[in-house]
Amino acid sequence: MIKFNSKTILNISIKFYFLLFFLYLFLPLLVVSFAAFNDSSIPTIYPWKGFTFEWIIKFFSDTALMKAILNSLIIAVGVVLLSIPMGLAGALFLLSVSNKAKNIFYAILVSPILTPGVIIGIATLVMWNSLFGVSGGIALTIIGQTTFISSMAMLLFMSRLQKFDKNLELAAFDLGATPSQLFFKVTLPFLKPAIYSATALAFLQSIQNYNTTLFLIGTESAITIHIGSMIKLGLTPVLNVLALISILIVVILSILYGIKKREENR
Amino acid sequence: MTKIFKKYGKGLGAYILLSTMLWLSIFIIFPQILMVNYSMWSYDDQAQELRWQEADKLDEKRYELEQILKKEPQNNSIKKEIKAINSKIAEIDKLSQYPEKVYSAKNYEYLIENKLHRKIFFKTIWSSILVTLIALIVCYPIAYFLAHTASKKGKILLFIGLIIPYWVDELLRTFAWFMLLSYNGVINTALISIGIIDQPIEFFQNNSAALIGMVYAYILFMLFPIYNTLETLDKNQILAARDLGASWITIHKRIIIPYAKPGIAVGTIFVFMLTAGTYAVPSILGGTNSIWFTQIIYSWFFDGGNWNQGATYGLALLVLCISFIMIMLKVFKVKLEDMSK
Repeated sequence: MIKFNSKTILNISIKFYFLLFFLYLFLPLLVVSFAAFNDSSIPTIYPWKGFTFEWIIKFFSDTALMKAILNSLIIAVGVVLLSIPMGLAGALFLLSVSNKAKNIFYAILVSPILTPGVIIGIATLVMWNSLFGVSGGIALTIIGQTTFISSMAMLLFMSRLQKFDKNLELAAFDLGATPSQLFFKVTLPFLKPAIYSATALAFLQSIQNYNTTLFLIGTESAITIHIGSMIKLGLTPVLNVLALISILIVVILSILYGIKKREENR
Repeated sequence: MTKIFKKYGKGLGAYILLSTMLWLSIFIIFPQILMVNYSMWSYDDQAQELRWQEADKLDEKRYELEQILKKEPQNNSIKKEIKAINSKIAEIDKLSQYPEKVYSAKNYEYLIENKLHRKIFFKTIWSSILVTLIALIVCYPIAYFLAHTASKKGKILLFIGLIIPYWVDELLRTFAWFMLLSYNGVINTALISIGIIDQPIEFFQNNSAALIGMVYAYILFMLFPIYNTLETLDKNQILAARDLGASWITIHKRIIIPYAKPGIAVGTIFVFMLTAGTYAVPSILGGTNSIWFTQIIYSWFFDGGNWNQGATYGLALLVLCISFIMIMLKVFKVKLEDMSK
């Protein structure tokens, strides 16, 4: 017989709470994914009108959508190329100024993360428009996104640099390394994992950005902007195919991440 | 500053300094300064109006002169006068292409005096607080049990389960709720078939759909920071407290919550900022009756064409978020520098 003491009740309710929470997180994603296969002209899972691949075929032949994806990829590459060196420079800069200056500079360099994306969009648009007459486009979107994605990269570099063994630096100097040799032969290799994760983060953040992009994209398109207008004007299950594909990509990446984490723990 | 060159050498030091200063100035500070500047001026409509009136008068006069000229084609003085008027009109046209900027508090007054916009601004505040509170209450137990009772293997599995929805695009996740909550959506169909309701609930017509979507979109921004701080808490502290007879409420109040403070502060700040600044969720899940402040900002820029007013509204949102951050840092006694840990 199971004894219902307070501990088992607590355990069961914790499990139940977790179950509810994960259902809450995943049910909407499942609904969106399944509707990609429903033979219905609007995205729904009920009534189920039969299984179809029609929307998947339509997804790949949707040229406007493909253009939007391509633009987003271009923007993401641009953001990575700008924000990784800039975030790294910021982190190295903060390491080499006095403590008082460090706090001020840190607050400014990290502030874009704490600023709503809409504001970064407005401020960037207003500046580039009033000084150079630019009113939007891919380049401006890259600039706007880089503003805060650099801060994210910087934080990743800073937390990695905190683990840096100062003795390595001293050893390199003792062996006669110049400062730049120290950087390229010791510090940079040490930062490699952080560079990879910052690149992944910057890429994902850029592709998924909506608030800042909304104000800066101008007449061009980007994937999030395209999704937004698809929902409002002309909703078809093609959007569900897009959701299904991005969920699958995230699932695969997360599992790979989990496997790597498990190996690290061993 | 010389330390940079000493530490990294000339070339690298120069790059670090230059790159950081560029980011600091052109990307972060100047745009904000220009936004503030934009919010303080507006085009001088009155001067513009007067100019048009003058142009109209000149136009009339020119017409009269032209009539006279038709009768006396040889009248050179009238020809000269017409020429003078033409150049005057051209001048006015040129001027009105670049209307004068007038610095005033007009944009701010408009925001304060517009009853509807003021109401929406306050609605943004309270609903962001509400979303933040819900996220905190739901996430705290999850973060705690995930950090302290799950086995190592289970932890990784649960962690993967959490990063999947975290990394799916915000718009697509919101679209999922659009499908669930729409008039003929999954939830309405289910509730009707069970017999709880007869008529579908119109979630989009009040703020409920938008609020549900916001909690869903930003809840994990609360979970991860709290989980990260709790993971480093030494379990022995809890065991010791328990051995000394502390109830679990006391343990949470005295040990766990104080320890989790930086995480709670970061989570709270992020969820509030994301909710107050969201455009995607209300534009997808909100009906005509639930306009969000960000939507007004957007329409000042792209429907109304009044960037100055839009910049003022943006500044109001920024000030709101900064105040919230300040208050939270004070309440939780956390410094900004501790947040990156």
